[in-house]
Amino acid sequence: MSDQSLVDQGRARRRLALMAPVVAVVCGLVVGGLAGERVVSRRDPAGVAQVPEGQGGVEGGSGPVEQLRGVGTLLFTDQQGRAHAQGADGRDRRVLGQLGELAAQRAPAGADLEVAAHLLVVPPDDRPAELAPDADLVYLQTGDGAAAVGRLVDGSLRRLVPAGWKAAGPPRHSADGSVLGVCGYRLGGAPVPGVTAATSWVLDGAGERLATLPGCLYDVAADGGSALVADPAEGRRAGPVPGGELLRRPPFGPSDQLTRGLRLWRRDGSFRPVLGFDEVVRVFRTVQPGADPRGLVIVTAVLGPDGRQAAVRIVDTLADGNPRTSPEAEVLAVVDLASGRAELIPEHLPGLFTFLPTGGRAWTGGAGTATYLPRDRPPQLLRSGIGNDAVYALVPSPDGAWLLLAGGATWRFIRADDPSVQVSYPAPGRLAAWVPAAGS
Amino acid sequence: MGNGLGRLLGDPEVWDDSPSRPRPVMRGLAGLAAGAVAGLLLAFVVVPRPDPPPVQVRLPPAAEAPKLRVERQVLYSAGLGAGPMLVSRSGRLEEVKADGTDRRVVAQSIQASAVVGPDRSGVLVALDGGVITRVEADGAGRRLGPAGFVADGLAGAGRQLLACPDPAGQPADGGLLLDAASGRSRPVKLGCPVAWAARAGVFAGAGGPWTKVEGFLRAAATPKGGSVLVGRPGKRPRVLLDGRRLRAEAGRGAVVDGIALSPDGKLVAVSAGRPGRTWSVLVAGTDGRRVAAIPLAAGHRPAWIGWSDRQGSTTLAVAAVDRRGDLATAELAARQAGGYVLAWRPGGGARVLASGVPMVAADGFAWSSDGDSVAISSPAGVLVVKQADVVYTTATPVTGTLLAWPARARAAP
Repeated sequence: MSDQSLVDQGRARRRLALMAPVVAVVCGLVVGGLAGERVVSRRDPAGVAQVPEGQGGVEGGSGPVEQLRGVGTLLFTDQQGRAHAQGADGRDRRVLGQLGELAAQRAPAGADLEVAAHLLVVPPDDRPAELAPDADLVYLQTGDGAAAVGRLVDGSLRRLVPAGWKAAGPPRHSADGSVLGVCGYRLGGAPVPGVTAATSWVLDGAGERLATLPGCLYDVAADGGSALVADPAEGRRAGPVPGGELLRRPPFGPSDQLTRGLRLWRRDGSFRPVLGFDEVVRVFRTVQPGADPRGLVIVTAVLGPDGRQAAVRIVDTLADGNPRTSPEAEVLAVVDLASGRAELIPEHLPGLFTFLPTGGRAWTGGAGTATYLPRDRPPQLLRSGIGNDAVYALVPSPDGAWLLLAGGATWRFIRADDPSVQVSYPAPGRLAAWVPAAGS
Repeated sequence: MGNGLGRLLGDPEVWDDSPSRPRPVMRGLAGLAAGAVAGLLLAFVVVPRPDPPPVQVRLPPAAEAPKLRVERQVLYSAGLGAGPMLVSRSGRLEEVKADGTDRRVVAQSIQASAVVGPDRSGVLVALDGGVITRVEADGAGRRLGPAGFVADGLAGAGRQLLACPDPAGQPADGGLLLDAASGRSRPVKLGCPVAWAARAGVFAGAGGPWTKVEGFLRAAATPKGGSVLVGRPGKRPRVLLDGRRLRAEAGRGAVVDGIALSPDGKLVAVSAGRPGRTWSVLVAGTDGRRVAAIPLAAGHRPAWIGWSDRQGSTTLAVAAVDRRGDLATAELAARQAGGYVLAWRPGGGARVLASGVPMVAADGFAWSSDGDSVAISSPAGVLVVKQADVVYTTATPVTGTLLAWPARARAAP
């Protein structure tokens, strides 16, 4: 190749190198301009601003879930024993910790034999564990039937029932966990066991015993200053509950330890009677005029948020038959603790009950209804046809504006003052508590 | 260092003074990119924006308060054994099937508060603003009883009627036995309330002592009887529950507010009490024996008591409504509070058939003619509860104040 040809070749390349950028810039301008024009002039094809519905922090929900934003924190557990927290609108989920005892477990061995214990105490709802607002303390019942308090931060667990005693549910506690109450029982007798002993322990947050009381403890006041316990004097007055050899229910032995009346234990060591057996019989007979008083016992009692009322569940232990079609065998009543008067909550097959911080109350019934009774206003229907939802807890929001029907598959939130506003989403686990949001 | 020239760094043999290579492809790509960016920016600046589209807000589906469901199967089942319901609606007497179909006006311009019948020929008797009116199958009406008689209650079976007087301006115990066909009447010493056994010639009503009691009507005292009498047509009524026994069983100062006779005439249910105190429903045999006393929840008063007419057994339904405070004198349809319906069977225990929301402003109650179901009307509609299993409860499309749920549809005119 000659020198001249090399020079020509270099010149052509230099020309090409000059022309190519110029052409490319022009092409780029055209392409970029067209693209920019399309972006700028593009309009929303639907032109719709949609009010969000069920698209908060959860999937598969329905209703205006954004209204639940800031309405406290839901604490729940999963099958692996982890405790979680999330906003009521499903956002900000986080794992709090793990306790092996929280893992889904089968009922304690021999539970079917402890029918007699259910005549002593039935927990207010079926939450397997309850978490304190600090998202650390866990109140639960261990697999072997002991009431216990656990800590998520270090995974520790403290049993609250002495050896040889069983508890019928998780411990009851004050709002801050500084006072705990446990009802323990022993079974005995042949051929069918009955409750031979019922004793309660009131403890402080460190586990020190404040009191040991005869009979069963049902609730501890939010301020820890008092507790609702069985009144042995009423038990003696009413006499022992006879054993039952019933056709449609498991048999149980006789017992003089079951609860016939209630009294209030106060932290200064004093007691005040709050519900006598005569009143128990009177209120039960408003739905079952011919009820035999020998079989009537109190199995659940829950203090209201102001400590002036209590909801009690009274059961006829001698009633037999299909609960749906037979005479009523259970009654819910609200007791005024000052006067000792019980007010019937008329309902067929009364289910869950809760007081609201706003002064109202809500409950579920056997015909598949959930009813809210605001203070000084007529009752409102919250829900009908929930019979198959497997609702195990009815919990108000910390401000009382919402009610949560916690079911095994679905959590349904209902605005108490406007039941037409309902939000539901798939249950993320088993509800443990609905507490105020941190910092609120 | 002394010649003043600078010294180039590096070795002279690695200096390269040849011209740079042209690289047209690289320059072209760089130019294309630069042009595209510049064109994009230019387009953003110069291209005019379109007008914003009008915003359409799509709201969530219209929310409404939860209601009791209409369960078609239950409605169908409840309607099998009973005829149409008789309801008072918009100043008319109407009949309508439990599922809301076949609504028919029985009589125009009639504000019925009680009815007896209809009989096989479709004739019924209604109490309309104090006037006892016979309503023919074609809707024509005819007044029964003396012209000056103002009734406050009506009971009966077939052509036999018992009316009790409105005590305003009339003797409180100036009742009348009437013949629905001829309209003939004769006095009977009974006052309101009154009852008649559906399948037996037995009637019952309130007797003295009569006392004026406050707490039933706003700013007015109402004469109320303090005893219960039973009788048969043609015979003088006899005292079943005297004042002493009534007070012993229902409390001091108790008066009679409602009476119901079982269809066979063997049992009498009496609601007794006094406003502001505890109310009870006393059940006694017509032979005077005490059968039961059903205490009502505190602050509740019976709004209706009625026996079912079921083959082989009978059940008493007691509708108790909250009457605390200002609710004491409120009209049933205006009463904004709850209540409950209790079904009690002699020797068979009791169950709550309805409670809470369906009882708000509940103003009409009736057993179905086959005794299977109880119906409750309120401004929210008519609720039907199957007595056998409360789970089978259904709302109905029927509206109006329920008066009765008799056996058969009236014959068409």
